[in-house]
Formats: sequence, structure tokens, C-alpha cells
Amino acid sequence: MQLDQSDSVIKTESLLVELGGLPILREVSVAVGSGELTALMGGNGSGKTTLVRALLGLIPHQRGRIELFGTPLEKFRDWRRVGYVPQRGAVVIKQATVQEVVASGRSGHRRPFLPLSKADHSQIAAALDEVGLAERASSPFSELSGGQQQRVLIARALATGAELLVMDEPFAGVDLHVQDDLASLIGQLNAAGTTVLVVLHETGALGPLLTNSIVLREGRVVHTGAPPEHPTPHHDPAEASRPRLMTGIGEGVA
Amino acid sequence: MEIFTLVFIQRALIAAVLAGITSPAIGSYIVQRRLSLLGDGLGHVAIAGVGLALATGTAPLPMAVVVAILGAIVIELLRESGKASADVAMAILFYGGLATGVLLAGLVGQGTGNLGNYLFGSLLTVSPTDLWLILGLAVLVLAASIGLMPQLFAVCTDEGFAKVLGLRVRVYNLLIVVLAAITVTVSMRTVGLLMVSALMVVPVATANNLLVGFRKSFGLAMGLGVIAAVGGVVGSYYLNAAPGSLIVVLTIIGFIISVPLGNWLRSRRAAPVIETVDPEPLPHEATQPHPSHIHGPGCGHLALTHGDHTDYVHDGHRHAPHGDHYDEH
Repeated sequence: MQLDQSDSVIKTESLLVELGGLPILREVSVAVGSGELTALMGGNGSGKTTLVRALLGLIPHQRGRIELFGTPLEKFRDWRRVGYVPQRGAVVIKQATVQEVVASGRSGHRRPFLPLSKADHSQIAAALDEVGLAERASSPFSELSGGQQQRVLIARALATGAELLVMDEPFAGVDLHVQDDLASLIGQLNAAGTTVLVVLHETGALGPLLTNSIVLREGRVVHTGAPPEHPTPHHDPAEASRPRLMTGIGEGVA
Repeated sequence: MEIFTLVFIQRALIAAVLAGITSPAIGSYIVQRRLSLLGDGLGHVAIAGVGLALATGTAPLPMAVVVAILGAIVIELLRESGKASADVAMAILFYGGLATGVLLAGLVGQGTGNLGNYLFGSLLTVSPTDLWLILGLAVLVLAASIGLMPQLFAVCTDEGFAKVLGLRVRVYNLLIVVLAAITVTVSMRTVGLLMVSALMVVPVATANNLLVGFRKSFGLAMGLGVIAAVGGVVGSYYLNAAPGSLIVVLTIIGFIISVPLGNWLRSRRAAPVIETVDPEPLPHEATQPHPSHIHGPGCGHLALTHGDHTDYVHDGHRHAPHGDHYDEH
């Protein structure tokens, strides 16, 4: 993890994040190198989602530093380099086509009062192609299956032209077969040069593709570097004994 | 059609068209953000403005605009704070607005009779000055809600994502409630402050039943809003009723019709896709034979794309065509 600053896409130093007065993350110093496929792991309540939200500036941090692409978060304006894929359960879109949802990934680039440009259209089409949903472009988002909705949210993040994808539990609530499909999609994107930070409950199908990992436990970093072979020591025994299908499903969306 | 030669009806009709266009336009964002009752609350707050104007003898419309915008800003700041007490604070603000309006109007002896024109709409109260102000405000609301559609859509569907896009989410959130406040006052003369929310929400819900996609349903909702508003004004002239009530009843009739119509349209659309494809093939099990019915596109059974073939949902089972019979899937 001794990365040169220019190489780090994400870097934190001694990060402290409090929610409602309680410290949720303490002394978190991590780095994500350019081109890596990093898993951010940990049990329920370990602070994975909080860390991701703090990294993206969605919640404030109380102490420490966050850098994105070598720029302190406070001064970072180059948001089109970052694609955020939130937990699917947190996104309820009542009335929109797949195309419209993916197109909203362009709204940070668009000038007000002007229609979609040619570049916007080609970026949207490319993003839909990449996740294999080009032929569902005019389908209603709300009627898609869980795995397809997850793909649409990935395409929406790709449509920004992002070099860094930050995904929060992409496998939550989808069955094992769909997890395999999503894992190979994430692997392809990473192979094509996209840096990926993915919050995972367990490595699952993504295990062999990971190049790096960060493991949190009760808000502290307990492991960085090579992905853990058996990512269960941080689970309490009751959780570890649950059948595999149950884990990763129904975790809070906070 | 001598009604259309009456100058006050002409003004009321123009005001109705403007209310019918703008209310569903901003309503589309409010419904997408699941704040359907926001318009109702803003209407209540605007009543305080009307009461203040009646008590001080100033023009009601500009005063309602100012008070509704201030109320909207307070509501958004309360909502953003995310505190549990914010919910109660909003309720107090809404009822406080209504009560203050009625009280102020009563103090100067205007009573609820005059106030009623603003609560339920009236054909007679649209003055030429009002009409110009309504036109200006409506143009503002339309320009923002159409011109900023991509940004507002992104903010309304997923605030976190919009923030990571670099959009100034707070500014857009504030813009939505302020536009809603302006829309409430635009529609005040026609629909009335107590029922204005219906014109913001019901045409949008109707359009959502009928069409797929935000842009299409946005356009249809505006069309439905205009039909209801104009129909309500014309009808209320003959019925001698408050136009607001008829407008709201018309929008709800439209909604009721859209429910079966929407179900029918949905059944004609492409089948939903399920992805639960287990790599292990299913054991072969034929269904109970049903020689009188052949499954196929449009056979009346819900069709599901299952891997490389189509299943039909039949009496709680999934029937997959296989040679001369159907398999259980």
C-alpha cells in the first residue's frame, strides 16, 4: 500500500467520521491505486457504507484528510471522473425508462436549456451496450429485475465517463447466478482501465478478480492488501454460520 | 357559445390554461420525489399571505407569492435537517398558515366569504393586473421545469448520485420547492389554495398509469391538466359552482379511467424478464393438459422471458411450451 500520491485515486489519512456524535470511522488511512479492483469489506455495522459516503463527500468527516485524484476533497471539482453506484435498494425511481435513468448520468455535463448533444447520446448508448441492456433502453426501470436494475445503475455511472467507479454492495439481494454475471461485468470494466472500489459483504464471485482489499471492523482498518482467502474472521459466529445465500441480502441501506 | 365573449371568462380561461400547464409540470418532480403533499402544505401557507393582504388592503396575489416562497424555503430547510421533529414543525407551519389567513381576514371583517374565493377558486376575481403577473410567473415555472429537466430529474430520482455528479443539490432542491410555491399562487385564482395540490399530483399520477418514461408522462400530465382546468372553468360557469371543485373532480375522473386503461396497456407491453436461471436444468414435469387453450403472445396470461424461452403464468404455475404439451417451470 506504499503508493505514490500521484498514483492514488482515493487516499485518506487518519479519517474520523462521526454520525450523531458517535465515532463510526476512526483513524482510517487507506489508498486505492489507479487501475485497481479493490474490495471494501467488513461485517454489518463495520462502517463500509459510511466510508464510501464520506469519500464521495455525501457526509462530512470530522478529522483527517480525503484526497480524490490527488486533490483534497474540499477542492475537488472534477466529478465527471467519479461514477457512484449506490445500493440498489436505496434507489426508487417510479417513472422513468432505462434510457432516462442512464441519461441522468450526463446531467452533470449538460448545459441547462440545451438538448442532449451527440457526445451525450453516444456516451449513453456506449454505457448501455457495456452492461448489455441496449435492447431494454425504452423499458420502464421499475419493472426490471434486481440484477438488471443494478446494471442500469452501473451504466448510469459509466455514462459520466468515469475513471473511478465506487459501488455500494452491488450483490445485495440478487441471486448467485446474477452475482456471477455482475462480477464478470465489473471484471471487464476493470480490465478496460476503470479503477473500481466495491463494497462487499463477502468476496463471492468477485474474489478471483480482486487486486486489493480493505477490511474494516468496528470502524477501524484491520487489513489492507491482498484479498482475504476466508473473509469471515470479522463476522460474529452467528453470522458466519448462516447459509451463504442469506449473507449480503437485506443489509441496511444507510 | 356566448360564454367565450365575456371578458372575465376569457381572463379566467387564460388563467386556467396557465394553471393547467404549470401545476403538473412541477408536480412531476414532486411526485418523483415522493413529496405529493408538499403542494397542499404550500397552499395552506399561501392562505396566510392572502389573509395578510386582505387585512392590510394590499393586492392578494403578490403577497401570497412572497409568503408562499418564504414558507417553501422554511419547509426545505426543515426537510433537509432530517430531524424527526421536522415533520411536526411542518405540520405546525401548514396549519399555522391556514389559521393565520382565516384569522387575519376575519379581523378586518372580510370573513371567510371573500377568502373562499381564494380557497376554492373563483371565475370573477382574475383582474387584468393579476393575469399579467400569473403569465409572468407561469413562464418562469415552465422555463425552469423544462429547461432544467435533466438536472431536476437527476436530483429528484437519486440525491446522492446527483451530488457525486457535481450538481448543487441544495440549490436544485430549493428551486423545486420555490417553483412549487410559485405554481401554487399561479393556480390560486382558478383552483383555489385548498385544492391546488390535486392539479399538481393527480394528472401526473394519471399520466404515470398510461405512459412509460418521465418525459412522455410529463407532457401528457400537462395536457391532462389543461383539459381539466379549462373544462372546470367552463363547466362551473354553467353549474354556478366554484371552478376548483369541478377541476379536481375532473382530474380524479381521469385518474379512475386511467387505472383499467393503464393495466390494459401494460399487459400489451413487452414481457418482464426474470433472471433466476439456475444452471441445473429443471426436472421434466408436464402440466395438467389444457387442450382448449394455447399459450402465445397476447393469450391473456402474463408472459415471462425465462432464459431462452417464454413462460406463461397460468393459475399460479409457470407453463413453458414443450413440443405438444407444456412443462412446469
